[in-house]
Amino acid sequence: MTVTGRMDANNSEDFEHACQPYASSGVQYIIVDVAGLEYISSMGLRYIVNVGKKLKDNGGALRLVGVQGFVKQLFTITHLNNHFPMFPDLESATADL
Amino acid sequence: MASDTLRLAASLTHLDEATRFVRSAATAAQFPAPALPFLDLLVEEAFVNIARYAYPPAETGGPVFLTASPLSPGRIRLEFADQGIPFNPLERPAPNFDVDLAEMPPGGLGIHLLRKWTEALDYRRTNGWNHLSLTCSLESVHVSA
Repeated sequence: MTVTGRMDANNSEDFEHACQPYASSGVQYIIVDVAGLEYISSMGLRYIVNVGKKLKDNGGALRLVGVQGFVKQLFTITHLNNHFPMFPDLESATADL
Repeated sequence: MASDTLRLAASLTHLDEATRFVRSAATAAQFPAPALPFLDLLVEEAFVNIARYAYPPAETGGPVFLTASPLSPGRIRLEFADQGIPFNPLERPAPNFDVDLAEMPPGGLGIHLLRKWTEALDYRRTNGWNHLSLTCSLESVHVSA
């Protein structure tokens, strides 16, 4: 999955809706390319956490590819970088799956 | 540097308008482009709280006054004023980060971010108004000029 642009209070719920069918059907891993994500607020983080919880319940995780700039700072300052594995590219994110 | 005030309705449909207003003031105060997402975030976290909780039921659109006051190059004060129910976001406890993902509560990150990326954060209740003031600088968001 690729997420670009902005994740704010007005659109972040769309992310959870897009992931929900997979998480509900037992999918363990969703890999999200956020290299083109320019902005995310606490509301965006909330929905990423929600999806991460469901995947963890399934025995997997939400993996992030291309975390950079402002988005990386936000994950670091909220300590969420400890809960979401980050990879430089899709190949490394899928290497052990 | 002159202050400017924007009147908004307390509704998420006006979030973009609030963000554009502050971006314009910040650019005039010589904030470089890499600093603008930090200001967007401060505006969003403060404004969403008001839109959701100040005038119950949520999204009924009571008045919000947003004042942007450039203090010096690379330094700006933002003040949100609303007539909603008394709400001091600074009284919210800091989130506990030392928990498993499964136990992480759904909220609480917004106020943490406000604290982290402002050099001053103040709340007061005066004559039926909530006033939340945020002073942000290039130093507080760790961006070089």
